[in-house]
Amino acid sequence: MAGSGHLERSVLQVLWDHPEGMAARDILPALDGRDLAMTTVLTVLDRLRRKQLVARHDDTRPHRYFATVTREDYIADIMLDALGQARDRRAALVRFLGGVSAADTDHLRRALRRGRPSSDG
Amino acid sequence: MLLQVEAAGLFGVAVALAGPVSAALARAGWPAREPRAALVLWQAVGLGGGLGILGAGLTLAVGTLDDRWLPGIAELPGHLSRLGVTGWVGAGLTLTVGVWLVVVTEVSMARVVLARRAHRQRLDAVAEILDHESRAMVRVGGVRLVDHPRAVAYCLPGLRPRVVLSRGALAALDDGELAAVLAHERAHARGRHDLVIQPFVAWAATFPFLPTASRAVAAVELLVEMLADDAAHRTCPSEDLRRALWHLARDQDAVAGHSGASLGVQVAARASRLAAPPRPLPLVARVLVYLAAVALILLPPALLLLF
Repeated sequence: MAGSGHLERSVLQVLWDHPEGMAARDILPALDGRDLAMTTVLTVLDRLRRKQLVARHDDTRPHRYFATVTREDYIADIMLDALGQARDRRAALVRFLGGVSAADTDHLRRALRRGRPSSDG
Repeated sequence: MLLQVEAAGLFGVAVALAGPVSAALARAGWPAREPRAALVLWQAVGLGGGLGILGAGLTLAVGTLDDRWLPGIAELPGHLSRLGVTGWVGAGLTLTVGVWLVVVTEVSMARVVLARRAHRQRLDAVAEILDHESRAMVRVGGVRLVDHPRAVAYCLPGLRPRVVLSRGALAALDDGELAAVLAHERAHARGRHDLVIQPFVAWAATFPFLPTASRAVAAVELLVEMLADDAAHRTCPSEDLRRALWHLARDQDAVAGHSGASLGVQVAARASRLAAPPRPLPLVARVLVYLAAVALILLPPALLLLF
C-alpha cells in the first residue's frame, strides 16, 4: 500500500535527521501532522528492521533506533541501479538511456557519494 | 536416414541463427526504420535457434528408432536400450541444452524479480511521489522523485510500474523535455518492454560464450528504446526528446568519469534517428519480415511432421 510506504519513508527521514538514535516514543511526535498510534510506529520500525534499514540497540532503556545506512549511501545505491552498473540488476530496470556504459563501478559509487543531494531542492 | 539429414539441417539452422543471422541482424540498418517488426524477428531468431538445437538432438535420437518423426518420438521412452551411440549423443544434446536453458532462465528471471523488488522497496522508502502541481505544465502525477543531483530517468517495470526521475533530471529538463521523457518511460511501462528484453538477457546468460548473445541483448535494448522514442514522438516534438537525451547523456558521462564512448553509440543512434526520422519500411518489406519470423518458428516443426 502507498500509505505504509509513505510512513516508512517518514520514519527513515526522522532517523536520518537524528544520527544519534531515537526512542520510539520520540519518533512519534517527530512525525509531524499525523495522528498515529504508538503501535503503528513500532510496526513500521519492525518492518524497517526486517529490511535491515534500521537497527535497534537493546542495551539502553528505552530501546534506541538507528538508521543503518546514511541517506547519501542509500540514495547512491538507488542511483547505481538506475545507472545500470550492478550486473545482476541490469535487466531489472528500463532506463531512458538504454545500454550500459562500461564505467568502473567503484568509480561510479565514489562519484555518486560525492554528489550530495542538495537540501534546498 | 532422412531424419538424420533433418537433424543436421536443424542443427545448421540453429548455428546459422545464433551466428551469422544474429550478427547480420545486429548490424542491419533497417531495424531502426521498423523497430517493432525487428523485435518480432529477433524473438523468432531466438526461439527458432533454441527450438532448432533442441529439435536437432531429439531428431537424431529418434532417427535411430524409426523413419518417421512422430512415431519415433512415441517409441523413444520405451526403447531407450535400442538407441545407438548416435541416438545417445542426440538425446544427450537435447537433454543437456534443455535442462541448462531452463535452469539458467529460471535463475536469471528470479534474479531480476528479486533485484526489482529490492529496488522497489528501496525506492519507496525515500522517493517522493510527485503530484500534479509540482510541474504545472506537465502531467507528472505518480512519478517518483529521487533526491539526487545527478540526472537519471528510468522505469521500474511490473504490474504496478513506477516511472522514476532524479531531482537532477527534473532540474535539467524544461517542461517540453520532461514531458517527452515521461512519455518515453510510460511507453516502456505500458508496453512491458522488460518482458521483451528479459528472454534475451536469459539467452545471453545461457550461452555466455556466444558473442552474438550479448550483441543481441544490446540490439534488442536499442530497439526497445527506439520503440519508446516513437511512442513519445507521437505526443511530443522530437526536438524535445532529442534535447532530453542530450542533457541526460551528458550528465551520465560526467558521473561515469569518461567521455562516454560506450554510452554514446546508442544515444547517438537514437538522436540522429530523431533528428532525421528514417522512412518507414514499405508495406511489402514489413510483411516479409513478419513472414520470415513466422517461418523461422513454424517451418522446422512443419518439415519434421510432414516428412
